[in-house]
Amino acid sequence: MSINVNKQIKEDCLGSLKLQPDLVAQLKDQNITVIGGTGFIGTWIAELVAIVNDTFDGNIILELLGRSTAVWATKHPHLCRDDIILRAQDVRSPFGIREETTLIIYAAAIADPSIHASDPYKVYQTNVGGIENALRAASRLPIIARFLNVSSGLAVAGSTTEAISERNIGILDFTRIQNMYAQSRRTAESVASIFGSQYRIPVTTARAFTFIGPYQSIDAPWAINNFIRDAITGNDIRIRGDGSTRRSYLYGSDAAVWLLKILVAGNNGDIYNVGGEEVISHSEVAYALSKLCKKNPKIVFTGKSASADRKYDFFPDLSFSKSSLNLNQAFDMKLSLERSIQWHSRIILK
Amino acid sequence: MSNKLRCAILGTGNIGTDLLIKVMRSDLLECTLFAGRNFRSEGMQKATALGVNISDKGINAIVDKADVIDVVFDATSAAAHIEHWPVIEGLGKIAIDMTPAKLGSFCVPAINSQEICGSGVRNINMITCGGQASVPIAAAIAEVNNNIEYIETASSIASRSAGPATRANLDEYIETTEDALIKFSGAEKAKAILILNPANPPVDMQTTVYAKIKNPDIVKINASVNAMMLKISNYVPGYALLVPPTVINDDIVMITVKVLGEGDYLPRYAGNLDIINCAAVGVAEDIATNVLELMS
Amino acid sequence: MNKKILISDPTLRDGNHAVRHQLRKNDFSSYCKAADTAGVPIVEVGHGNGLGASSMLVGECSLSDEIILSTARENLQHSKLAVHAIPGFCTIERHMAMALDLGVDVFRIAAHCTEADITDRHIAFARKHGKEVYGVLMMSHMASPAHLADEAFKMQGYGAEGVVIMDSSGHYLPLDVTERISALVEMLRIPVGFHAHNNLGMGIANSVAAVQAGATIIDGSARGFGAGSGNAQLEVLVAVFEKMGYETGIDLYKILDAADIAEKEIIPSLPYISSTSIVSGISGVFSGFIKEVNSISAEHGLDARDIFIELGSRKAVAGQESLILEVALALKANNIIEAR
Repeated sequence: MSINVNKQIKEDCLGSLKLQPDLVAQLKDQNITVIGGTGFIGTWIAELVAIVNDTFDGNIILELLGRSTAVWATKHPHLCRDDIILRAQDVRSPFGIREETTLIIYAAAIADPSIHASDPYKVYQTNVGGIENALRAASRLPIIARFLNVSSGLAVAGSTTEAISERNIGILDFTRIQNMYAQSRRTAESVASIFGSQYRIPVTTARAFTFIGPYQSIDAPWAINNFIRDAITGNDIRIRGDGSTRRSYLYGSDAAVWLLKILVAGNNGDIYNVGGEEVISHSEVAYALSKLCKKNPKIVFTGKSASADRKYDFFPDLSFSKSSLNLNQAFDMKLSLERSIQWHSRIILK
Repeated sequence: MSNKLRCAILGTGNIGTDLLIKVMRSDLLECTLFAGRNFRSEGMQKATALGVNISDKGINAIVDKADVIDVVFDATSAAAHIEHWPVIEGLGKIAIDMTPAKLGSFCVPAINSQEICGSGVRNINMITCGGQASVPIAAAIAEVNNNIEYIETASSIASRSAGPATRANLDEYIETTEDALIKFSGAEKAKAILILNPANPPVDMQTTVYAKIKNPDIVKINASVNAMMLKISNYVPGYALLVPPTVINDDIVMITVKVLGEGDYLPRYAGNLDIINCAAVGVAEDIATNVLELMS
Repeated sequence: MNKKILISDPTLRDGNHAVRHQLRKNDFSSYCKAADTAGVPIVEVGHGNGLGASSMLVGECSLSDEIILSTARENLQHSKLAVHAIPGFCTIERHMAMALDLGVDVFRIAAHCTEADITDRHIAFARKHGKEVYGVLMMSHMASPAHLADEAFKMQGYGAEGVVIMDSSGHYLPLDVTERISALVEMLRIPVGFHAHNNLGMGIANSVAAVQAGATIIDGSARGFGAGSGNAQLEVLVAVFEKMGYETGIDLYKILDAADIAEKEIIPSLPYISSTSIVSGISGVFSGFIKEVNSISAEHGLDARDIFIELGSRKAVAGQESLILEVALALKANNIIEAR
């Protein structure tokens, strides 16, 4: 059963790679470090590197820095290979990067809303302090080709119904604690600019929107996670409000390919949105999931709030990403949902 | 060559740092390693200022420095301790577990420190802060009336003394405290309650124990509790009786104690954190004394 | 304009405070039947302090949670069965899981108004099992509107489908409610609710103010049966909301019948605003303390009102019942000293 899943993931990686024909050549022989490498992004990048090395003789060396590397290794034995180096590291503490590395991805920020609520200080230390440590580590490398900060579209989103462009600056009441996460992302981007300017580090930013697929932890209380869990367990799919809130979703292998493309081919100082193209409301996602699951769960709309007319849609304007780097999705929502259901079913229904 | 018991402290947050200061003050203990994951933490800076060896390699540092360590205080988290214990056990060291991981034997120094030291048990669990405050009282009552139907402890602590780890682990706190209450008092059933009080200035830790007993002998209970309080104050100087054993409704004995912290690293109102640290140091000192006796 | 109000009925939970948690099996079955017939959307049952709260500290319940929940479940066909649950009193494994198995539909996870972050795991548990889950902020007068909104936001982050603020001591005037509900409505994307107590005679007025400020969830008990001077009187609320043009889904005549049944069969004495209630309301002390304060003050020959004022200045919170005896003994000692 798990062999199939791994095979599927490999095939998905190849599928996404097909849309970036130059990428394999651009990645060949490279030394890459992903900080926060045991999360969703790090794991998908590891899958990609493995397949590129195995299929195309990529000769890439990938270093993954993370807090729970031991646990990650037991969960992904097929990714424990000579070309993937694991190092336990908490980013809140100063650290070093492999000397041979020339390409760095910072993906260690905490995006779980329940941690934002319960431990905002840790979020600040990780998102801001962590990237500072990473940039310092990068500045000590003999050669730095690029430092990619995986930031978040939430840094500049607000209450909106429109596609969020990279040029959005957005108004943020930074005095309120509930805006701490968005503020931490902004500050992190500022810190990256400082190192870009003062220490001449070639920094590029990717603003992540919503990702989906295997390797996503189902525990963080995002709407999509709740819907998937409800669908799998056969519980009613509970949607807060009227379900009109819209998102777009980018599948894991596409996300990994896009980020690697930005890493090797992006421009210094530029910001690229990374997210799905297909805009879809919560109720549409719920209906799609319901149809895909044998148990065909009911959709239940929970109470509508008095502030229901304020919309918090969250999806990117991808025109710049497309025009500058030709970033396109290989996988649509339907496949993303199918994969997610297959993946999480194994865990939830155990 | 020092005769002191060589202690490593794993976890450099508030608990670990407070432990460090207590260990350094002890005549019987010394801290040979202060290990965590974050050099930037205040604890690390404090340790450096005190001249203690520090490391950000966590459990791996324990492995590296195993030859200068006898006992490891684990002040990290339950999940982390579960990963650490096999390593510590493999090195043949004693673990004093400050987390609710419950892998080892419960220890309340006033009750079973000697027994623990003598038994050769290597994983010593310090239960919870409410447990350290209430279990000895429960045991003192049980010594007089050993037919306790039900025992309950309700602790109130200052909101400021409860960090994210405490708040995320209320259930574990409750369950571990209840298990310890039953074990040490023989009660048929137990209940633990924890209340966070946000009052400013912060309130001192307070714990009330209720015991349901048929025909409680209040005179004997008073004596037993007083004797226990003497034992506890040996290692928790700030432990005091607030409401002496009082019978309510004929068959319920109620006692309230207050715990004022030492103020070593944590503020004094955080008696809840202080008591579990005092207890841990207390049992470590008993281990040290035992070792010295064996050696002499 | 949202013209629907979700009424949640804690007659058999808050009311349990008024009888020191001694409601009987028949009380649960007869009132549940009546509320169900009247179309009350959510019926909340249990010990006054919620799931797993039966204790020496806050009072032992005459019935186990299991019996209460199964009795209620049997007698509710259309209404949803709800429990109030305070982390620190109740645990996921030993209490919430049991409630889930017994068919509870709605979980209201409550914390003192400044301690929302203790509700993360409990809200997540209910959410993971596909149940309706609300966050509840108790003694909400003890935080500023902005702070309250921040705490409510955390509960939203944990997965709550709505947040209800409680005026646990009956301390508010309507303007206070307007301010707070508005702050939450501004901050949150989920419904906001209000739970009134009647110590200053403001139960209905405060509930109306809440609705006008954007609240869509209101708690009310039959005849106001609840802690202290009781809650907002449910059948009055239904009549008033109907008059104002709001939909509650509750049949007015049938809820009047249910209240009559409650008065006749389950409420030993109707709530009224006593002198001590007024003092506890003014001093902002939890209404659930009233019975205990009255009994301890009688026992020790003290004026209950003095105890309340002292508890208020010590900012006592629910669950600190043991403080009552301590305060009483301290006052007694003071009196003796002064008498000299």
